[in-house]
Amino acid sequence: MEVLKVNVLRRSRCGFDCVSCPYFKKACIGCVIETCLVDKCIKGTSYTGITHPKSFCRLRPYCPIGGKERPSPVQVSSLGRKQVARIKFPRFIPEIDISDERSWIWREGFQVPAVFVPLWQLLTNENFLSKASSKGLHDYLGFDGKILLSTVMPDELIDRLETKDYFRLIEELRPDATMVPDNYTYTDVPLYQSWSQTIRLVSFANDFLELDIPLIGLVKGANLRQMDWAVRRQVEMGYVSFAMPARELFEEEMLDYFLPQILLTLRRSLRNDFEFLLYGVGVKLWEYKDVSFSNLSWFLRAKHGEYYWDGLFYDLRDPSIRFEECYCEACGGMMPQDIIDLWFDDKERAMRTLAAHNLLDLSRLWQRR
Amino acid sequence: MGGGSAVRQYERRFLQGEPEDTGRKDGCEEAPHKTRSFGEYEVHETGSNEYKLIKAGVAIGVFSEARVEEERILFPLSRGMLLEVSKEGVREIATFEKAVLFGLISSDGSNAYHQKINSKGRHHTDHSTRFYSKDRILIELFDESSMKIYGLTPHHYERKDGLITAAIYSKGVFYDLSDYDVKMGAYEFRVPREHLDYDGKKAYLKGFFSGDGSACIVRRKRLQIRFYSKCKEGLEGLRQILMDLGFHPYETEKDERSDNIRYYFSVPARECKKFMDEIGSFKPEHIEAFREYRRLRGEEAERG
Ligand SMILES: [Zn+2]
Repeated sequence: MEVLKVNVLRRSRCGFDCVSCPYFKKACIGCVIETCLVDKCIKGTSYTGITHPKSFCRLRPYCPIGGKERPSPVQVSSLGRKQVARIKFPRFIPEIDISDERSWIWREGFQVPAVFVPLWQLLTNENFLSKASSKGLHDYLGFDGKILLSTVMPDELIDRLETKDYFRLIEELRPDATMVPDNYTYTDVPLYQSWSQTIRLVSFANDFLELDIPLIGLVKGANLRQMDWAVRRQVEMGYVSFAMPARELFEEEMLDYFLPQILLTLRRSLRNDFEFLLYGVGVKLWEYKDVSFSNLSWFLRAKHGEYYWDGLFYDLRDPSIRFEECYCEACGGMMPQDIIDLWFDDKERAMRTLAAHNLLDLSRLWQRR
Repeated sequence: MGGGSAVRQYERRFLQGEPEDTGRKDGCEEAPHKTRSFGEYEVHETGSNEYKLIKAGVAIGVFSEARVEEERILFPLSRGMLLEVSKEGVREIATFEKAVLFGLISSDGSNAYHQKINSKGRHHTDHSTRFYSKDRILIELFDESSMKIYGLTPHHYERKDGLITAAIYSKGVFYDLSDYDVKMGAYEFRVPREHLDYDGKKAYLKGFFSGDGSACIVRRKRLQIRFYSKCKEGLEGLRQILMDLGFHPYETEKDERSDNIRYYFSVPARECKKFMDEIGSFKPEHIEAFREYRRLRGEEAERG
């Protein structure tokens, strides 16, 4: 039986010899991804910006005919352990846009217990970064709730930062808690890349144990095996608060496959002594009862005139909500039609009302209907 | 950040991830590429004419077309706009057609919505973008711009007195033009100066002048070029871009001959030739006046 398994898997679809891969035999079972972009390119279909044109090909090191060496394998370091403090996620945590002060919702008089601040926005704008790092995020934003640092960022930035860079940034920005560094794991790219990234995530999580602020572990992976592996290693290190950047998986309708399994792994390892947050999903998924949410959609959608009702968004003119009065703190009995009227009168005020309403709707614990 | 499918990620972030038939491969070689820097931006240009725009190490766009100039690179965007990358940074600027359309709408156009309540008591919103003129040639110009920029053919209505209305009914066009505030109310307009480069300013002025400009021969040989509007702030915007182009327009004045409140400013006589050469007009009546002026100047020159 064992012999047969090796025969089937010794070569991946693209032609790479999986048996000599350092990740094979341990965690990985070999590359048999049907949608693999390297395999597709060799067989005649390339994708613009990824494997086409040739000079941009990001997958050359993973391609058997790419003429480039694979990067050396990432080693699993020996893991430390400590008691990591729980964040106590509220049900909804708004992400804010550093460059648009209208999303600094506490300035409008709305109390929010915690916000996520995206680190990438600071990294791509020197002006914000220098102000925020000289004063610390609390002073810069004028916010006295919890500031959670989101490390979810574009791949190009992920590649540039090392542990010491994160430590320096965290020291200067002084958030109340931080996610461990993000990674990238694609479902249609050779597993060598996503395994390297997964091990890198665990190794960063290990380094982060040195920090003396509460930490948020990340749930990432190109397949269940990677997610499960990364979660278990973080649990071993003492992590109890987890965030799953899930926008893509949700949009690609894969979240319902992964999420119950991951929650099961966590329940088995930690009983109920953990907390879980879905990051970047723009609607409320009522079926996952004890899961918290965070997104920027409450604000982005308000800018486009979109209105949340029971965690789903609608065009303000949608007849199913247009004449429904809302008694939230922002609306005070207004219905979407009143916001439309206000929009043409005082666009700025209408947008701010809508944004605050959206935030309050996403924070609701019970459905209205 | 990357999760899920890489193809979907590229579609989302860069409008890339399109499948291309590149044939079965036995080997693969890297194509050469060149890098150009503009301040904090970098553009990677490859042998196969693809351009990747990078800011602070982050790719912010991949483009298959570009116009490379000495001081800047232009990438085509949708709806008649271009992305200009230069030392000053990145901004969206209007193509010639879009700038002309801005000008036409600022002068004799409208961009509005109307809310209606139908017989069943339901609210309904109509969005429309219109241009009014008695000159068929200007209506055709509006139609052409609309086709080129939005792929839409306007509807026409003609009144007994010859006034033609060309109307586009599209929420998308309404919101696109609202973003630039080129026409906020019936008589209120704004020059979208930040979205106009040198040629864009000329095109906008030509479009506006064709609608609300006047060119006529006065005292039998002098050409008088004037811009009229009820919107004083808008006229100031026009004066500003004329100055950007090296003109010295006179101050804005109130038009005392008009019963309604109306303002105008004139282009100095010594700059009329420059105006005809560099800006000009689409309006047949103006073109005729320019021709007449050139003829008179020619006669004068012959007489010595
Ligand atoms: Zn409300």
